Amino acid sequence: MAEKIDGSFGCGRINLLVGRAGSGKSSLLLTIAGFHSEFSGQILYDGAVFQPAGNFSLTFQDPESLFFNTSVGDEVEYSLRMRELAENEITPRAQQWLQRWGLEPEKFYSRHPFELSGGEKRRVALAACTVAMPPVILLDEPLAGLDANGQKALAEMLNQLAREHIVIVVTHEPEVFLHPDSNILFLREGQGSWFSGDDFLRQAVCNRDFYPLPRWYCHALAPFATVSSLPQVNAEAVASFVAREKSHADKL
Amino acid sequence: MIILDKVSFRYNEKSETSFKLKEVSFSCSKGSITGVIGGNGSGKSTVARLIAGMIEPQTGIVTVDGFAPFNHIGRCGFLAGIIFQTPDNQIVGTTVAEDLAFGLENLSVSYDEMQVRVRETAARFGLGDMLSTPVHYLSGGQKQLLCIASVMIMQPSWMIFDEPTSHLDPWARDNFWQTVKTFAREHDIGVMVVSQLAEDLHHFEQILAFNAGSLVFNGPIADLRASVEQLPWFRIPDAWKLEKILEARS
Repeated sequence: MAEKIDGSFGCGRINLLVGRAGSGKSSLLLTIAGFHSEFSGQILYDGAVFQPAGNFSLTFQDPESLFFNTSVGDEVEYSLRMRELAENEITPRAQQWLQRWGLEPEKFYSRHPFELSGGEKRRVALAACTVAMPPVILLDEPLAGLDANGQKALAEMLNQLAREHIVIVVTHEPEVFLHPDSNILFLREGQGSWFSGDDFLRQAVCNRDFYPLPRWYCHALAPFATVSSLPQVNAEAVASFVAREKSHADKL
Repeated sequence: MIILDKVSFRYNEKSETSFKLKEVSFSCSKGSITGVIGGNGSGKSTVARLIAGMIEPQTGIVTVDGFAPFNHIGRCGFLAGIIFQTPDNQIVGTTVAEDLAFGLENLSVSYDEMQVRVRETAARFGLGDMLSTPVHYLSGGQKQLLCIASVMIMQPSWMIFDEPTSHLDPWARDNFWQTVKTFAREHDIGVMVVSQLAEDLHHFEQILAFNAGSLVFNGPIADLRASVEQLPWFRIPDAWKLEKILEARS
């Protein structure tokens, strides 16, 4: 499916895994998580062979389809119980974590997960997946199916987590996460290519076949493709960038 | 034509997501792509299910080409086919070919015609080399393409897509919209797309916008753009925001 993938994912910035459907993105996540053993080479963590057990969490696509508890609280507490956290610490930690994901414990803790809206379910799923704060957090399309506001809020939360954890996100909307510092592994034609956020944006602006970013972004930035540090993919950043570049050009 | 006339609906379960559709009325004609937009829980997917005949309105009337879809769900010729957001909820075959053929088998289409339509439809959606592939080998995006193909093969009068691109890669999204536009303009198939993606807006000629179970906007996209200030729940696409900022600065 893919070969000669040689590089690293680190913490401090979000790591994105992109590529066409069927390119091996989800399979790579499952391999890192230890679900697949049919690979050659090594997966290392801090120089030693990575031992997945207890050291990662993984959200599958549509994670809310895997709810198996009858309350939000039980869903979020589950991994803490499996890790045998002290009983008196479990509920407070789970409630605090749920709050960080934008769900008030008073309102949501005892509710049945199936009663929630789609966006709320996704927040619960992501909270449940990350509450144990493992060193490696793997997410397979965590924003798929959410509305724009939900995507933005959850992307911000994942960016925060990435400061201290290795967060690897498979996504078809890299523009929601992209930052000049982002680390991107692009799987295509059986190979993996690594890009910084800036390199990725530049290539995409110059060539839609490379990666189809939003057309408005590529159209606005096409005249500036050779400029270093392209802006993030939002209107305010692009408008400021264009104004600054035009002002600079006028002065010259 | 799709007509909803003072349609109200509420799910029976007692939960905060049991919202009401509140006397919704609109009509859609073929020839243009209608977008149904709104946030999570706004009612847009419920509208899609009513049109596909999966649920029946508690009050009001839903018709597709003059027929009530709920009462004609088994009708040959298929009034409105729906593609769901989660492909695994819709795939029934064990292989790509089997899933594509399922609907045609149930309509007693001849074997020879079935084979031709399965091959042609698979090729159209980039699945031509995967007819014998077990469906559990498909990626999420490929499964969604299979679902779309499995409904398109039935040649329905209307296609209702419930957030069809949410699991597609960007190249597949581009292909999807090209195919949908072809069906809308050249094959006399009505197209309605439920979407939350700002990127999808520019594909729609007609917009139905929902908020908390109510239809809050019905008209062409140009009118939506002109009235976004009156829709506080609506997240303005970055493309529109950028134009506005650049206009203000110049």
